[in-house]
Order: sequence, then C-alpha cells, then structure tokens
Amino acid sequence: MPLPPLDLSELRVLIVEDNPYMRQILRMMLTGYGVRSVFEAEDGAEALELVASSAPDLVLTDWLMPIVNGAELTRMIRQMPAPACFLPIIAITAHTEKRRILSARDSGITEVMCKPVSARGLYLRIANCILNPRDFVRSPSFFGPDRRRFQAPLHNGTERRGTGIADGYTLDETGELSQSQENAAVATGRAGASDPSRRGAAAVRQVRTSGQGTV
Amino acid sequence: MAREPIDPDGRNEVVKPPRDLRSKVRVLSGREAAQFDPVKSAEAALERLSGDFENWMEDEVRTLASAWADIQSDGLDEDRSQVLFRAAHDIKGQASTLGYPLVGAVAGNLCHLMEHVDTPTLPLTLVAQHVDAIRAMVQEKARQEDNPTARALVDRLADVTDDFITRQSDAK
Repeated sequence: MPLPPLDLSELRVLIVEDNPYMRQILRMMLTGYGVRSVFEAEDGAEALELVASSAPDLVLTDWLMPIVNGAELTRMIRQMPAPACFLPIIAITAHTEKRRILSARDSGITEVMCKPVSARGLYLRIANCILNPRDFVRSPSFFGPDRRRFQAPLHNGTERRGTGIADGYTLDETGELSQSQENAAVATGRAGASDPSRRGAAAVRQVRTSGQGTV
Repeated sequence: MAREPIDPDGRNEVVKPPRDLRSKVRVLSGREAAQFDPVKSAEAALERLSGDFENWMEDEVRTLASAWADIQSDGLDEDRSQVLFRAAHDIKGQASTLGYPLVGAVAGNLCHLMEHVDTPTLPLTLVAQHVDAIRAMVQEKARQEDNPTARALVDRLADVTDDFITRQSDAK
C-alpha cells in the first residue's frame, strides 16, 4: 500500500515517555519524517504543562509511566479547554493484551500502537491522525474521538466524515489506513500460547512487525 | 465547532474538532517524494543511532538486575515488584528496536507472569531464571532470532510460566 508522502515540517509533536532511550528513538523517527518541532516530557505532569505552553498538534504517549500514566494523562487532556481537548493522542504501549488495548481506547486516545515501534508503523499512525481525523463524541460519561470507522448501510443521515484522503492513498476494507495481519494478532490479544510477545523466533518476527497497531 | 446531537434527548453529541491538521501538512509532489521518503529517512536516522543500542540494552539490563537485587536483599513487596515489572516492561517494548528480539520475548514472558500471578505468590526461582536469561542473552549478544540456545530458552521459560499459571489458576 502506498504511503502518503507528507511534508510534516510544520507539525508540532509532544513525546511523553519516561524512558530516555525510547524518547530518543521517537525523536529520531520524528525528525527523520521531517518534523521540526519536537517537545519531550518525562511524565504526565510535565506533559500537561507542555500541552498548555507549547501548543502541540499531536501527542505520542507511553502508557505505563510512574505517577501519571498514559490513561490518566489522556483523561486530563480531554478535560482541558478547547482546542487542547481535541488533540490527537497516539498511545504507544508494550502491552499486547486485548483488555489493555481496549482500556487505552476507552480512555480517549486517538490511535494505539504496540511496541516495538517501527518507522513505518508510527508514520502510518501519524498520517492517519492527520488525513483521516476523527470527530469527537461527548456523552455524560465520555469525551473523546469517535470510535466508529464503519458506515452503517442503512444510515440515511448526513455523512460524518469527509473524504480528505490524499491522492494515491487508499483506506483498506476496514476503513483503516493499515491493518496488518501481525497487528490483528496483537489487537486480538493473548490466547494461551499465541501471545506474540512471548514466544520464540516466529512469534518474535511477528512482534517485530506489529508496530503498525491500531484498534 | 460544529455539534450534532446523536440521540433524541441530546445527551450525546458529535463534535467536530476546531482544528484540522490537514491545513498544516502538505502532500509532497511526485518530484519531492522521489527525493524524500519520510519512512526511509526515519529508518536511516535510526540506523545512525544504532551504534548506541548495545550500550542502551546493557543499561536496561542493569536496571532490571538492580530491581531484582533489591527484591533479593530486601524482600518482595508491591513497590519493589512494580519496579521490576516496569524494568521488564521497558525491555519488552524496546528490545526488538535495539536489536535483541529474543530478549524482548523473555522480558514479555516475565511481564506475563507478573501480570497473572499475585505478588505474594510469585515464583521467585522462575523470576530469577528470567532475569538471568535476559542478562546472559545480552552478555552473549544473542541478537539473532534463530540462535538455537536462546530460542530454546525462550520457549522453555514460556512453557514453565504457562504451566505455573495454569496450575495456580486450577488451584483457585
């Protein structure tokens, strides 16, 4: 599938990650994509300050962090005044179990990506946030991106989503920009010995390519 | 920002975000794309960084070993268990990127064990075997996925872990 070649030089991205090596890896990927404004926070508290002071366009956040974890950070951002509450948030997690992934989704993240992170996988997630933005749903118990990617065949109302997809760039049959087989295994979660994060070489190959995760 | 009720009583609504990032991003022309591939550029940037990966991996292993040493000397409690889990979780997430996929599999298995067994009943011998395996694989630079010894270790630890979790689950 062709990737949309984007000029991301004007994009402002905030990395929230307590591990310094992972922060450096993410920064290198972003600068490789051409992003010029990259901000880094070691924890959720620092991230909230940077959201307010640096006006990022996109947040990449680790999930398992001390004090304020990714879920709490996401909920706090969703409670901030507009436009910050609408920030696209990509959760980057080493968790591979379905319940963890669903929990991340339900906290209001925009996309989720399972580690290990690949340059292609992260680029796809970022491109998806930009080219295929989600509307938001506000209910008494939830505020966050609309999870619905499918169009109901009997729906006769107005279309929710525009068609602002770049030329030469197609959505797959699920409505996602990508849905690799490997990722489907990860997103499905662990089923006994099938957890790709734990088994031998074949499974490790699967893990290595599972960075294109989405739910 | 546009709002659209999605139920009759208006308690739920769809809100269109006020900012559209497509206004800040441009699709590169064919000529520009021929000269600059964002993914290849990022991969090249990572490759330049990869000279440090061995040191980073060793540092992560030291963090894991230190967390384990604290448990050995001071006993297992919830806080120390969390420190060990976090160290293993970091390795699980990064090892493949740093070039040690089988180490990531062992760390993932350790995380799996710690997530499925209550801290007071964690089998410390099995935990120690995971920590030792990670340490040995990094020390021996077992980077290849087809390294037979490392692969056998990964599979054996996964089998023993599954057996332990199953037995404990059956006993409940």
